[in-house]
Amino acid sequence: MSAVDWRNRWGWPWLTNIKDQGGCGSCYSFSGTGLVEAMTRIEHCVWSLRSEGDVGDAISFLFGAHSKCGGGSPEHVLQWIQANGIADPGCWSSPNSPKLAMPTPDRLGRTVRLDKYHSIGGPNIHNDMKTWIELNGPVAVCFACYPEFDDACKNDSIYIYSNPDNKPSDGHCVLIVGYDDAKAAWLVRNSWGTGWGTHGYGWFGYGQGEHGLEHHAALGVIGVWTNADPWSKRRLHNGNFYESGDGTKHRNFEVWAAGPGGVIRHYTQNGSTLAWSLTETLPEVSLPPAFHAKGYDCGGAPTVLASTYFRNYEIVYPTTGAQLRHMHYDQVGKQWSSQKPFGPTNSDGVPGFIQIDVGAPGNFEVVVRCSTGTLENWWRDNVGNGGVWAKRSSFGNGILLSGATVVQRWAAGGNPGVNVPAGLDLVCVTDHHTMQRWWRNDPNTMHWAPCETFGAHVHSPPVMIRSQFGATNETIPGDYELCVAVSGLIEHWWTPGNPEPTLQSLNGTTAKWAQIAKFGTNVAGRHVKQVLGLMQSSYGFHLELVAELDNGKLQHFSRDGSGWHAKTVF
Amino acid sequence: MNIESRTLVLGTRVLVTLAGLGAAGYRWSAAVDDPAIVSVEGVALASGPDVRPPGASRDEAFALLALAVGETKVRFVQARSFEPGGEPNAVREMRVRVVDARLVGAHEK
Repeated sequence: MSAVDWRNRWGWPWLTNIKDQGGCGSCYSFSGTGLVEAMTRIEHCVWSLRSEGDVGDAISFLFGAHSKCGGGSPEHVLQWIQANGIADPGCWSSPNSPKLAMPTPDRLGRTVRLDKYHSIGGPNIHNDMKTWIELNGPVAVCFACYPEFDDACKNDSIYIYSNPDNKPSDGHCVLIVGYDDAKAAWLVRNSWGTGWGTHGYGWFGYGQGEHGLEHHAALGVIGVWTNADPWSKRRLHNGNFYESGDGTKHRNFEVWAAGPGGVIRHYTQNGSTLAWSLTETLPEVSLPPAFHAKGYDCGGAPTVLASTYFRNYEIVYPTTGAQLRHMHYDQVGKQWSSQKPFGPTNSDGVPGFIQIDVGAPGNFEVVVRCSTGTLENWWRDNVGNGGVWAKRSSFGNGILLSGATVVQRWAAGGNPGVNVPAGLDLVCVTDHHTMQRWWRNDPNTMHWAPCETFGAHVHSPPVMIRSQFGATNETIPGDYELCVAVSGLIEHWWTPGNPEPTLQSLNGTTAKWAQIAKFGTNVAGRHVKQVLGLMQSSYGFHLELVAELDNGKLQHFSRDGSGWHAKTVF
Repeated sequence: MNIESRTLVLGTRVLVTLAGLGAAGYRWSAAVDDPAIVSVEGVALASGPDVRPPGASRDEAFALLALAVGETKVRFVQARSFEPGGEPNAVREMRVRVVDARLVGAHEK
C-alpha cells in the first residue's frame, strides 16, 4: 500500500494553482501544459506558469481545422511543445475562447523547452502509471467523462462510474497528480476551477474498465527532459552565477569571473559529472578612446543574466576605465558581442543588473556606485530606443559599495486594490560598514527610497536574490536571501518576502533581516574575500554560491537541508 | 440577447439542439414560464461512433411538447452545476407560441 500526492510532497508544493478552461473545449491543452509545468517545477525547483493559449492557438492550425476550443489531443500538445517550447501567459495570453492571441516579440527566450515525452500503456498500465507517478511525477490522461462527473469528488469522495440513466460521455483530459492505495483511487487535477470536486482536485477510482483512467495510454515527462526558461529563473540568481539550460540534464552551472589582464573567464559545472572546467575566455573588445585597438578591460566583478533575447547571456562589468560595459552572447550566432562603455564615468563598484518585467523584451536596469559615494541607476529601454543605455537617476550618499543585489518584486504595484508595493529592491554597503536596502517605487514615482539597515563590519559587496522559500504558489513572493563576506567568512541573511516589505517612512520598513548562517572556506589558510554570485538551483532548492578567496581562486558553496557546505575550488 | 420565436402546433413535439460543452463541465438546463403551455425535457441524441477528440462535447437536445394553446417563454441556460450562482456560459431564450392546427386551417380558409 502506498500513496503519492504531488500537491505537497517532501514538504514542498509542486503544482500551480488550479486553472479554469471556462467555456472552451481545451482540456487537452490544460492536461498537456499542466504536465510540462509540473515537471519543470519538480525538476528545476522553479514556478514556471505556462500558457495553454500558446500551444492551443498552434494546435488549432496544425492538428485540425477547429479552434483550440474544439478539443484535441494532449499528445499533439506535447509534440508541439517538443518542437517549439511553451511560453508563459505574460508572453502569450490564454483567453478561454477561440480568439487567437499574439505573443510578445521575445517568445523564444520565454519558452520552457521539452526534449521528449513518454507514452505509458499496455497490460501493466496500472502499475506502470503508479511507478511513473512515484518516481517522476504526474501523467496526462483522457477518459470517458459522463455528466455525473460534474458533481463528483466533493469532500474528497471517490468517483466511481455508475451512470444509471445511461447518458452519453464526452472525452475529457486531466492530470493525474497522485494516487492512494488505501482509497484505491487516482488523484486528478481538473481544469474546471476550484469549484469542482475538492478545490479543483478529485479522487477517481482505480480500474473501471472503459470508464476508467487506465483505459487509454497515459503521457509522462521525465524531469530532465524539461529545460526551464531564463525568464522563470530571473529572480533566482544574481551576480556572476547562473544555472543554464545547457547540458544533458539542463542544469549546468555557469560562472563568469574577472581574470588577470582584464579578461573575463567563463567556467562551467557539468550538470551530469558535476566537474568544473574553463569553458572560454571572452573575446577582446574595442577599447576607448578611438575604439580601433582591441584588448581586455574588465576591472571588477561582472554581473550576468540570461535574457529573453533567445536566452542570450548578458554581462555588465566595471571597466578599467571606470565605466561599465555590456556584452552579450548570442545563442543563435554562438558569439559574443560588446558595446561601447556606458554609465557614469566615475563608476566604482559591482553593478546590479537585471531584466525587468516592463516592456517586451523587458528593459535592462543597472545600479552602480560612483566614486563620489552615490548610486546611479541606468536603464536600457529594450522596446523604445534601440538598445541605448541612459541614465535614469542618481540617489543616496555615503555609499561604500554597490553589489549584485538588484531584484524585482512580484506585484504589479501601484494598484490600490492590491496594496502591495512593487518596484525594485537593492542592498548596498554604507560607509558605516552596514548594509542598507533601497526600494524603487515602481511604477509610481520611480524614486529610490532608503529603507532599513542591518549587519556590521561589512567591507565587501553583497549579493541578493529572491528565492523560492516562502513562495507557496506561483503568485506568492519568495524570501530575500543575501550573502556577503565579512572578516573572511560568509554571512547569510534573509527576510520574508511575503508580504513584500511596506515602506512605513523614509527611514524604516517592516522588513526584519536575520542572519541565519556564517560559514567559510575549507581551504587551509584561505579566507573569503568577496561573494560573487548566488542562486537557487535545480538541486532540491539548494542555494549555491560562488566566492572569491584571498588567493584569487573561486570556490563553490552549496546549502542543502543540513546547512552550507564548501565545495569545489576552481 | 436575441430571443427566438417558434410556433408549435398543439400536441406536437419538436427537438431543440444546443451546442454542448459537457467536456468543460457545462450542461444546458431549461425552464418554462408557463409549463401548462409547453413542457420541456432533455433527450439523448442517438450516438454513433465517437470520432470527436477529447474536449469536444456532444450537442445536447431538448424536446418541447406543445400542451395547450397560448404563448410562453423557454429559457435555456448553460452552466456548471458545481458552481451555484456562477455566471452561465450561455443563455438562450425562446418565445414559443402554441396554436391549434384546426383553427389555423379555418383562418386560412
